[in-house]
Amino acid sequence: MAPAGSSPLHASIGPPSDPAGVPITREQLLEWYRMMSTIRRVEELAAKAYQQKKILGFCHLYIGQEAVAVGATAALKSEDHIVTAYRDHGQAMARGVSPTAVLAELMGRRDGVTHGIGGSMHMGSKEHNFFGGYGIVGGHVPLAVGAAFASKYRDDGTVALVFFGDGAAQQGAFYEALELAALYRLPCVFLCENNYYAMGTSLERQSYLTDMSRRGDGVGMLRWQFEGFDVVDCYRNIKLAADYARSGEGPVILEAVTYRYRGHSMSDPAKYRKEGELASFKTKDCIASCKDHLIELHGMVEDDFKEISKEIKATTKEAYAAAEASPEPDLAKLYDYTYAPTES
Amino acid sequence: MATLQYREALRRAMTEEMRRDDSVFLMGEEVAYYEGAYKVSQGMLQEFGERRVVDTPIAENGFCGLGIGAAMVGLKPIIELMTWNFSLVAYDQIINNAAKIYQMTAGSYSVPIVFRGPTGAPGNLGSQHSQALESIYAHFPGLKVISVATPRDAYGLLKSAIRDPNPVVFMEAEGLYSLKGEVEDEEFLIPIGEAETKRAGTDLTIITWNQQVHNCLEAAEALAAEGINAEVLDLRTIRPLDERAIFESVCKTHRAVVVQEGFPYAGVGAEVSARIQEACFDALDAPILRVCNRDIPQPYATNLEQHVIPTVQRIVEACRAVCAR
Amino acid sequence: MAQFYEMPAISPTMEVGTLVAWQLEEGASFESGTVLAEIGTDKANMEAEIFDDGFLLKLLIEEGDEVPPGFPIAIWGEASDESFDALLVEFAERKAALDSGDSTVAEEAAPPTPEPVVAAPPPAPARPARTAAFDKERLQRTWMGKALSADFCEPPGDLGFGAHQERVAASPLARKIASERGISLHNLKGSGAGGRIVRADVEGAGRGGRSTMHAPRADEARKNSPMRKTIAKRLLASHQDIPTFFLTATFDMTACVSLRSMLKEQRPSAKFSYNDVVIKGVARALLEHPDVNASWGDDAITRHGRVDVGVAVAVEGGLITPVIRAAHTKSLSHISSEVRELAGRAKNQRLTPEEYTGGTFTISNLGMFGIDQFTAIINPPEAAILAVGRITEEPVVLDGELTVAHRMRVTMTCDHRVVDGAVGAAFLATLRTYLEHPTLLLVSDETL
Repeated sequence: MAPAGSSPLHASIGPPSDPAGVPITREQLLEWYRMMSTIRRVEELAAKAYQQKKILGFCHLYIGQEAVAVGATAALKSEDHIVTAYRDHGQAMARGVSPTAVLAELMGRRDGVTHGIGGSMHMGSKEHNFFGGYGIVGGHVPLAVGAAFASKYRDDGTVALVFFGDGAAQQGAFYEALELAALYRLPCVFLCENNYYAMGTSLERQSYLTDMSRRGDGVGMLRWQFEGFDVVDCYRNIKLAADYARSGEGPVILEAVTYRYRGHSMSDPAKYRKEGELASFKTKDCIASCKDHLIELHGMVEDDFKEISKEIKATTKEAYAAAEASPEPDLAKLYDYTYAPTES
Repeated sequence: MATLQYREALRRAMTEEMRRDDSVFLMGEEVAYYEGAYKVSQGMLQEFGERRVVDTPIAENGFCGLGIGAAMVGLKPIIELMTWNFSLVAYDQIINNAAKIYQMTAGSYSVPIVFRGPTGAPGNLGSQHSQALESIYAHFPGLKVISVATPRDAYGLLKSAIRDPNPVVFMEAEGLYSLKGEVEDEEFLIPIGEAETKRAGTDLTIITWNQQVHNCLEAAEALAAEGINAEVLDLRTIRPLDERAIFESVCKTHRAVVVQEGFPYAGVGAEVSARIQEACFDALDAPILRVCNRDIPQPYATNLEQHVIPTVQRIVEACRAVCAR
Repeated sequence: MAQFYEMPAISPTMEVGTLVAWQLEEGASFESGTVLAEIGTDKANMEAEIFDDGFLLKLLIEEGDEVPPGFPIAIWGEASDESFDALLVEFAERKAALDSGDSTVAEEAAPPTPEPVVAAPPPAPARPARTAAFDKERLQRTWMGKALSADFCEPPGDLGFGAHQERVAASPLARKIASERGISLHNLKGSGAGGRIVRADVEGAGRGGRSTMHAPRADEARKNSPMRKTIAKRLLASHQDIPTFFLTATFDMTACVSLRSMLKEQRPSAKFSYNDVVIKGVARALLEHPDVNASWGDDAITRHGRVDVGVAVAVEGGLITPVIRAAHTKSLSHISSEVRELAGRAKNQRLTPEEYTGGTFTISNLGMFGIDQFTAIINPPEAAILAVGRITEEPVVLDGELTVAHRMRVTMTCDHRVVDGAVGAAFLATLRTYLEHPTLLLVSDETL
């Protein structure tokens, strides 16, 4: 396998072909721009609502990492299966769950994606082929391997993609999942969103190696690392990985280097960051860089973006209002989801 | 009517279900080429091939999670645990994922999976290999838990478990795999959640399951010679409990003894006792007694082990005690 | 439109936030994510961000000020020229309320302050109401027609299942006690849940029936009538001021009994009661013992000329003493009818003061109430009072022979300042003579 063409951070086994060769259209970029902007705005509204105590419990925001979720979902088909951990609002929206359903779920209301039962960390929806979020770090990774197993079992051409963090790459379940995927040569893409911090612990204090894609070496899996700050890079690299897996060649483990602008959750003031670190990462902001692509490559102008911004502000504001207006979940249905009904 | 070994009954159930429904597959350590650590899956690789009878590396957390993910997208995995003691490294998958996914996704994804394997003490295997774990699984809403004593029950309930859209914990016993029993030739299913009276009686109700059913039947014979006519109720399903059967029996006999393998603290016997006293308080003539493993990790030496596990003698004594004899 | 920016709950446990430093000036523009201020919280200094785009119009609090989450600290708008007068007025009100400690106004439109994370866990969420829709079919646990708890750890709707088949529902403890005491459960009514017999029911059974929990009886205050107050005052004074001693004597009333039964037979219209005989006897005895018919005075004891015998009559709410004037001059029948007439009017509160004052001696008779003997309290300014008990048929020894006689005990309370023991005893001896020889009372005594 030739080394990567577009800005890998380390020499690695690398993508099977040059990511720069993956085509991208103006329509795709525009769609991604809108989606990333929407995700960011919804997450900001969630932060605001959380500080007003309209959202309670845990709330892990995706701000700063939007390119990864948007690039990944774009690289996959709607019939593919996506799994992630608890930082799942971005993936949910990228997969098609409406902002209203996300905000209503956060506020614990009936119109939430899981009707107020799952909450922030569990936004699964089969309709969107999104397994959802999971709260046990690393525990969700084997589930994706199961979906990939089914894909191969049925030979239906689908793949599974699982997001996980740098922290999850230390968990036993994660290693076992890699091993099984490699052993059975399953169509599974393991995508590490390495935002460098597992809660408050920086990566080099957790792992001897700091490139999580190298975990693939331990089981003989194709792997490489790429920068996840630009949605274009994300889309291209993940598309190559998904196509590879889909072809039956086996699983792939990727690392997307990224950064979260806020703390681990709303309760974390992120004091463990170095001075100036956030500011320096903001210079690589994915929404700004997507806008630049659209201006430079596709002739859009500043006013176009003002329009889009206005539009997104309006739709997200509406979604927020709709979420707030949604009633509390129906107590009468409390026991409805413990067991699936058996045909008698 | 055929006479089958318990392991053959399990094999027959799995084979029939796999023939009937392509989405059913078997996965676990040594299930394919080795034909099963206890030869339950003997011949199945030959019939179904590697696609459907899958050997795994020793990675319970991984392959239990794999099974759950596959179930979520519509396959019907049968995941074999070589023994339920080994399930503990996969406890997170079964408890935090399998039991809860249907609820967390508000019914969007269901998990039609069966985890099966032997539980309890085969003898002289020491503390890590001898545990009866029904209670720590039955504790969680979202799971169904079955624990069977006879070939017929193994067959009928495993079929129901495979067809059930919920995650089922299916517990067998190593000591029972060779047990022979009659099983009808025609296909049948036993509903989950139905207990069975293995011996009708009038003086007290012995509530039990899995290997201990046989000890209880033996104890009942000994008691009959003393003039105590014991009813033996085999729960078969631990969760959901067949309360109706339990309450009907206890209201008839007015005395109950629960016989279980497994530690007493928060064991299934404790749950059964709590429910009986809530519903049948006025029907009770004596407190409910439990015969369980003694409250220590299981020792290795035979004499020690025999002292620790429920024996016919201890069951007889408990029954005499509730009858105030 | 201009709106408030409120102190955010950046630390979920903070109760107040201190404005450490403003990071923007009034008039500055900002984008979503801009840090507006540094806030000191219970945990650490944190940044307060604003998640909108706009212009900062007014800073409402100063560096160093401390306010709870939800309290407005600035005004912002989408345009730099928006007016915000109404908001200023509202802020002033809320500030005043906050300063004066009126939390309801200060927290208007603000989320409730978080619970301090100190000791106890947050209160458990309220139990879902048990409606028909709530108990889903597959969750309905019933037994013998009663619902069991849906949740296995909630108290069920009805803890009792009453009589079960042909068994009596009784708690083990109740059965134990019943068996120990040989009480049958079948006749008992159960006060436990669902009619179950419990300990209290069995323990109450020995006392002839269902034991009920006795509710404590309430006190009742009955206002003192003027009569009660008077009685209390006079008798307390009497009891405290008069040095008393008591003389008891037992009279043989056989002769009185014969006399009375003879008269009843021969002259039914000539009725009198034994007390009437006592009255006349006392009056005649007083004539002969003027020291008893007297009153104490610091300077002199007054021996009364008149002999007026008061008779204690029980009336509603107390007692009153109508007086039989010159009883020694009246026949027994006359005394009898007069007593009856006066007593009748006394009970209807129609006595005149002349009729119940001015006696020189009082008789109190509780014989009709079955009292054998008692002591009475002197009616001042009298010197003595005679307490009369009931007449009983008793075995007595007379002249060495055992016989049956009618006996009556009297106790005289005497004012020792006026009546000495011998004097009192002599009086009673005379009284005895009259009562044991009542025909003497029928003869008028010309010497008197």
